[in-house]
Amino acid sequence: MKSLTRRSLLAAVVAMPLATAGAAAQDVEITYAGSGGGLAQVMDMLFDKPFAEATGIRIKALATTDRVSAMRAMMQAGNPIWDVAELTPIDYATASLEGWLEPIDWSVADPGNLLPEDAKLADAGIAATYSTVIAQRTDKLPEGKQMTSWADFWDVESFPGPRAMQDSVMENLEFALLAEGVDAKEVYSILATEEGVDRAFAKLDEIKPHVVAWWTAGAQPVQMLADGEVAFTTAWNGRITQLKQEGVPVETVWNGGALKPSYVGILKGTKHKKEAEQYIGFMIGDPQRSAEFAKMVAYPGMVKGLYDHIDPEVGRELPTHPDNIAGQFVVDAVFWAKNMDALQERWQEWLLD
Amino acid sequence: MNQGRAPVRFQNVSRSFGSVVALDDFCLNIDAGEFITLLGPSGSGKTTALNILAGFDRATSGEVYIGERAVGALPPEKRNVGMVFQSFALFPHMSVFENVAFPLRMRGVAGPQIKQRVERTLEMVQLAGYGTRRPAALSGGQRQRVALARAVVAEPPVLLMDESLSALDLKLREELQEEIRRLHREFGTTVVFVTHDQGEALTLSDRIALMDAGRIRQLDTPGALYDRPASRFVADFIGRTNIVPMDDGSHVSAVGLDHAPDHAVALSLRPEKLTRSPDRSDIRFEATVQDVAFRGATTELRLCLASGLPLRMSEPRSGALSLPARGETITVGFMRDDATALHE
Amino acid sequence: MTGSLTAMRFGRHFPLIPALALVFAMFAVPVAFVFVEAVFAPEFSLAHFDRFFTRSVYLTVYWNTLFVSATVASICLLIGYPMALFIVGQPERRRPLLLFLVLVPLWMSILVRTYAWMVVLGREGIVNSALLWTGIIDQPMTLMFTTGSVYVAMVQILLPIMVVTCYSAMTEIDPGLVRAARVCGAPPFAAFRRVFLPLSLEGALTGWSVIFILSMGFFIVPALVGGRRDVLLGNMIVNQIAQANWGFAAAMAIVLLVSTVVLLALVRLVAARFLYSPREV
Repeated sequence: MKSLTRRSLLAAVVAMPLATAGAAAQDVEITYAGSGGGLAQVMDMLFDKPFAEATGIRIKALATTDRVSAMRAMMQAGNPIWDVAELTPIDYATASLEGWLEPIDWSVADPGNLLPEDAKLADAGIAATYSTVIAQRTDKLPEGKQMTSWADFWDVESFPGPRAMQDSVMENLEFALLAEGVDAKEVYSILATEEGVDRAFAKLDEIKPHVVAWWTAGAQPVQMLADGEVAFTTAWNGRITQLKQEGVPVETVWNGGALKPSYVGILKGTKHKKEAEQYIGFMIGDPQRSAEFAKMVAYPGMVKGLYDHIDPEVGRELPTHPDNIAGQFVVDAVFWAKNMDALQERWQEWLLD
Repeated sequence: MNQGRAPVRFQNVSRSFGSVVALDDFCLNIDAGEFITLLGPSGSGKTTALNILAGFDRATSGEVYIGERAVGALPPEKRNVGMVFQSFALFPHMSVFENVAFPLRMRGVAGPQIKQRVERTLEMVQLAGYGTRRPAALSGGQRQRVALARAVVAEPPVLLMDESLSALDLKLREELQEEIRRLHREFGTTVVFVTHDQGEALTLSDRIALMDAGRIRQLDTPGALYDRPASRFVADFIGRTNIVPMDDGSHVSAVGLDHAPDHAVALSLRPEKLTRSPDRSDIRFEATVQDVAFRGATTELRLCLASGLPLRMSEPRSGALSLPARGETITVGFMRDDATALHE
Repeated sequence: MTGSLTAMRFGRHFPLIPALALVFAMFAVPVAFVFVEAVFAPEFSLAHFDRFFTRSVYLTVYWNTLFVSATVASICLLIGYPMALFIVGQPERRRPLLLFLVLVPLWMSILVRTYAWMVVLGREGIVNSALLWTGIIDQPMTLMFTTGSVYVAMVQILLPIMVVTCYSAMTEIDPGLVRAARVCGAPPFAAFRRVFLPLSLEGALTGWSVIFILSMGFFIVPALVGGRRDVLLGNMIVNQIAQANWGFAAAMAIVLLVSTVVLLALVRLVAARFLYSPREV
């Protein structure tokens, strides 16, 4: 019964909006602001082309950077050039607080209700997730030991070896508190206070001398692990999976990982709101398509039933896999949107000190 | 000032660049105080000889002497020569005064003396008061005077000049030729002058070494070189001339001779030695007029001998004789002594 | 009369108009935008500048940027000038090859060259491996992610510019001038110091200025090979843009631009006083 329901719902998701849209949409083009590169190719194959075939709505995918600045400019000019934009947590929080996003009618985007409530925000959907995690070179671990937590990352006695962390105040404050033994649920309420921030920085002071590099680009920790420059580092999970496939002895520590969604939102003032909602639904609301996407880029979405379509071997390497997701916390985009400026300044001072 | 003069001697100097021989067993004795010109077409070896003398180049074999001293192994700064370059080579970042003072400073001359000597030299080249200017603010002639002043200020016993006037226009060149002669008289320095301009060489030199293919073809005074060239090459290079081959009997008789002079391969007949006036010639022959051209003070005639050889003739415009028409056959003559027998 | 003269002058400058238009559109207008962004937040305010000049973190980075840029430019000068001198001293037919070798690295992206330093300077890199193998050291040295590695990488990236600038200035010098100096009695070093060096300094200074300007805007290299203290103003600006703090980023960009211009003007002023320039008459 359950699977029957799912299958029929699936059919409904695929067929229904398309049937209506197919009639309605003549020669509509949606401009999608993504990050280009390999990701855009995958999206073109899995989403854009099939969507155009099914609905007649073409997707014009742009390779963009610094989307907040661009959106600010568009909003100042009162003329959104983009219809749908891919947003990082900070991008999303900023855009949401500034009111640059259209509310999404989820009855249009997700008529089959396949997306969990967590993934359906008022003005955006969670398209994909990735996680900042600890990556360890297993050949540089002490005999019979494995890192399992931030406390271990901080424990330079038990786990000697050079470390790297991202040059970013976001997440590192959270990691410091987790290393102190703070419960993941309380991290942001502690960080909301002056003393909480002091406490996090004090904890960071402990690890500072052991961090040889503060990386700024996602490729750096991978390179440093591969070259043996560091034994332990923070890294984005997808990169570690790749490194593992290349034969480098690395292992991911999911526990304490900072889960960061990638959002999709519709720009305020778009002329194609309905079509944009359909596109978002097509992109993130279908388990099978999301599974295909996750297999290719390792940044899975949240749609229910996704892991039914994924080889368990592959699934274990993904952040939203039921085994992995438990120990992770979701980065609070709104907290950071509000506090980034001041904390980043303090972070910079701390680094230079 | 006459203590600053020295003889220069090239002794069997050869220089080759790979398989190209630029100087071939070059020998030349230059007397102290002499103004000698190395004259020749480009590639004749004259610049190579000068560079070896200045120390910019080393001889492959042989030796160069300035005074009694063999200088072949000495760098330029130890040779105590002055040099004027074709491009002037003034130091653009220094004032005229500093340019001229440079050789004195390099020789460690004391400050007050430098000032005195530089000013005297600038006066000598008629540039008194120009000391504070930069070379870029001077005319071409003025720059060359500065270059000259810089070359002579330290009173070197030998002054080298490399195509020094070629960059100037005709009028300036003539003006500076006179100036150089005057300076040479005043300083009495030995001058080695290199040029491809035979007119300049004839005007300036005590002796000219006419060079070709790395060797001296003839070394003589300007007058002797002009009047008694030893070879076709020399006769042809110095001034203009008619070369009449003597190995062909038809040409011999066509210029009115019974037989060719002993061992002569050719005869050099200067255009201005040919005349239509019977009392200024002892040998006469007939020729056809092909063209008549006015050249100001002279009239240039292009003639053709009975043997088919073309001849040039240059006649002062005295007006004694009416000009011949084109196609007319006229009688032309010359004095036997004015014709030079060439043996090579 | 005046009209026709003006017309003539206009005619002479006419070919410059497309270039000027391009400079205006691509440089003057964006700079104006940046300036506006820096002082309107959204009403007229100098708050961004106030923040910059009152917080020690920005001033530290600012001085560091000036210091690093001047040092990198000077190191490039000290290495690049002799290199150019060496190439100019070579036979003419060999020079193009040498120049080509100098320029080859410019064809590689800065990113690739910067990552390559990791292979050279890393803990398991070429230098450490060689030293460990020969037994000179028994623990790998920390060469990467240091201020030293920032200098090494920046100099390596910018050096070709210095060599080429010096080289072209040197080829402008009439070789006859050095000969003239020699024949005037100057030994080789004196001829170099009194004639060649002063005539080439203008070019060397141009090279220094170009490298200084480029260094002032560097951010990728210090981010990738530097340690935590090796932060340049460029990195700060990138950070601020990433946070969409346009105003503050613009204010920092203005500070960077103005200090670069002022500093170069000072350098030029001093140079005009002491250096020969081929343009002066």
